[in-house]
Amino acid sequence: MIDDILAGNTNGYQTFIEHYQRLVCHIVFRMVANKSDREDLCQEVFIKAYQNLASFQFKSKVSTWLATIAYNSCINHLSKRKALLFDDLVTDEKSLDGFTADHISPYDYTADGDIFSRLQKEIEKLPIQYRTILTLYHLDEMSYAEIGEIMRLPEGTVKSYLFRARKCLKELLLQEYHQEVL
Amino acid sequence: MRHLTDEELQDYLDGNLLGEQRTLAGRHLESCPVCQNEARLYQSLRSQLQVEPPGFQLSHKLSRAVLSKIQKESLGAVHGRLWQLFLALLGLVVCLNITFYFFDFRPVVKEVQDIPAPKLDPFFEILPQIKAFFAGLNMNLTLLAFAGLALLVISGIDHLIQSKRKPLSLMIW
Repeated sequence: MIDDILAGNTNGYQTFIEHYQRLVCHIVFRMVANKSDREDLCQEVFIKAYQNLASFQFKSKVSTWLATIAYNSCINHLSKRKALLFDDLVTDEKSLDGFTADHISPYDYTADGDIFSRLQKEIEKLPIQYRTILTLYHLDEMSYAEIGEIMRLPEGTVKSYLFRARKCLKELLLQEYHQEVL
Repeated sequence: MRHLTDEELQDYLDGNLLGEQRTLAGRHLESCPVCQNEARLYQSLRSQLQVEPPGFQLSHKLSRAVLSKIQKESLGAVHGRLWQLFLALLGLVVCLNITFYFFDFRPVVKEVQDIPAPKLDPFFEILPQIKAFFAGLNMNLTLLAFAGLALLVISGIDHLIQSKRKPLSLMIW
């Protein structure tokens, strides 16, 4: 497909976009809260990918390469907007202590909201790296190594963040609901 | 009896536990209701995490919008380069005209013509003829032709560099 696009096949790039837009959408939508910026960022990711397609070395999967562009674009976008707070980036092996008690508020939930939508709200409250890893691992079925390559993190750290995020979500849900409901 | 830790449970469900470790964890899960409940919780969480949130959808026009932007950017780059070329050419013509207005080259040309060419090889033998040919031309025209040639070479090099960087811009250019 890449060779086709490089040869000037416009339809080839349209197919490329349609094939990978779900992946890009997952990353951008999970990382950027502002809805009006999301679509523009997705477009920007595909334009950047197009401009750098000739330099793609085939050393990694296209999906990993594209996800890296999407991740970096989101980080740059959030930094420019100063939306990326220091606390939002996990810099060490610190746990999510304190997260549980402070973040649960009955007002965060709508009366008729189901568990799934409440879970999504809890995910949005997690640090950016945790929620990105959750998305790449569960929605896009990427391996620890691929996620590590995208986010420039060691595999062990990816695994550790994933475990912490899931443990945290499990505890959050347990506090709100009886186990039987889940 | 030691219960499975959160990490062990998650590893078990992710399929990261292999061989004897997996067998032992599986046996424990069969007999321990506490760990069974924990595993059920994690399993439930996993299945929900695998579902795409409803808002995570892009418009169907994304690919068309991206292609349109790429085309516009490529055309914009071509126009920009043409504009730069035009400005460079204009600047050069203005500079040459100013130079010729204030400086008379004819004595210099005469001096160059008078220098005897060393007869070292065939190229140097024809050098006086080349000089005579250029001296016969209007100086303004000669310099303009040289400047035009230089610009063509520069734009050719620039074009090669740009085509390496953006492969598809070559098609439009």
